[in-house]
Amino acid sequence: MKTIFWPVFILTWSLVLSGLWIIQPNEAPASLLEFIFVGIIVVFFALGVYFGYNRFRNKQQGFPEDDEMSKKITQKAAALSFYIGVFLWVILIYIQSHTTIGLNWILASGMIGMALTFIISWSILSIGRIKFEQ
Amino acid sequence: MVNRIKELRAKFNLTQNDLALKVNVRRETIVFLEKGKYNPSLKLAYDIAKVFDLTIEEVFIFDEE
Repeated sequence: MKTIFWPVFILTWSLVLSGLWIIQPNEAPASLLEFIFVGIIVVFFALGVYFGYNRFRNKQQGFPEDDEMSKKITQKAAALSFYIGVFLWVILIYIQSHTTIGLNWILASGMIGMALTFIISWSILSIGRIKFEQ
Repeated sequence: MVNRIKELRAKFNLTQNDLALKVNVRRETIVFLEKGKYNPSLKLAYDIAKVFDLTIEEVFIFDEE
């Protein structure tokens, strides 16, 4: 769990802060950062489609859609996203009290951040980049 | 914990797909097991050992470290 924490935490925060940067009202044209943020979202969407397709293919080939390992991966990803989400909300509340960013945007960023944390954790565990601890 | 799944699969001429279908898990689970990235439940360990007609201890070797 410790091995996966920092990569997911840093990646999530770069996304949330990028989101906050984007929603600040300004008249300037789209910046490079906005394109990067949208690009990352597209990558996550593509990952979702890929895993969805794999699930469908498994079913077609007679394999179960879910087995004990996939259920454990989902549980671990949920636990990790909750754990990181606690820190995320604390920092968002701090940002809200020290900037002029609206509460609606803070809430939206927090929710998107939690969802992204789950997707990142689930993807990393599913791809098997980090040893799955018991 | 180390295991002999890959070796036994080759001996019994089974693909990862074949073994996955026999024990009713996804192929990815067999891949993770063979790479030592996942330790199975007691039931899955029993099912895998049963496919090879061996005991759990003969397939999965517990490493003290």
